[in-house]
Amino acid sequence: FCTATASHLSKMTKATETATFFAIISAIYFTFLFGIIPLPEIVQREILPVLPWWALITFGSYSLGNIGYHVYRFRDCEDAYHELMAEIQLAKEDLRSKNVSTEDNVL
Amino acid sequence: ASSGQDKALGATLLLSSVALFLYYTIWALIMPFVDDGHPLHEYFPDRSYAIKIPVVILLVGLTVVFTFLSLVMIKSNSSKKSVKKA
Repeated sequence: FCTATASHLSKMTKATETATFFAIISAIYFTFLFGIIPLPEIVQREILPVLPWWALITFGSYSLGNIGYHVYRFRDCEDAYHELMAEIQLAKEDLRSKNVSTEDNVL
Repeated sequence: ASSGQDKALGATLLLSSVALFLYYTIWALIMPFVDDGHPLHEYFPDRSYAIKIPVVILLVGLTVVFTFLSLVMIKSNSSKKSVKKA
């Protein structure tokens, strides 16, 4: 469903699109939560208050699972590793010569 | 090929995230519809925790993120000042 974005038809940035999506979802959610449109008793009392937290947990598990999946499937490439380390060295020397700090520890 | 340790870590992460999702979904969305006497209830704590625990996690997470941000900003500020003085 990632292809069904509004951005390429109207002049929307991805940020605007995300904000709009959340605004619509929130409007629908609060319409039900405040009883403007009634729902069955159990749903109203037990399910609705829990939904945002369920969404948060679902997002968290999806993120962790995605990372885990890609870590599991990652194929090491020895050559690319050495090439990358060499490039990092070059970049560090270049920056150092231009007086930019290349400290490793951020904290 | 990625090392055995990497694969184990990835697989553990993946499986625990699936387990977490399933447990929480059943707890939060399915258990209200299960009758009170059912043995399934023994596997789940009181449902008020289904809200309290994510709230705590969110607060702790935000605290960690903002603390890290502030420390980085303070450090880069102090190193900028020491570079200017030098």
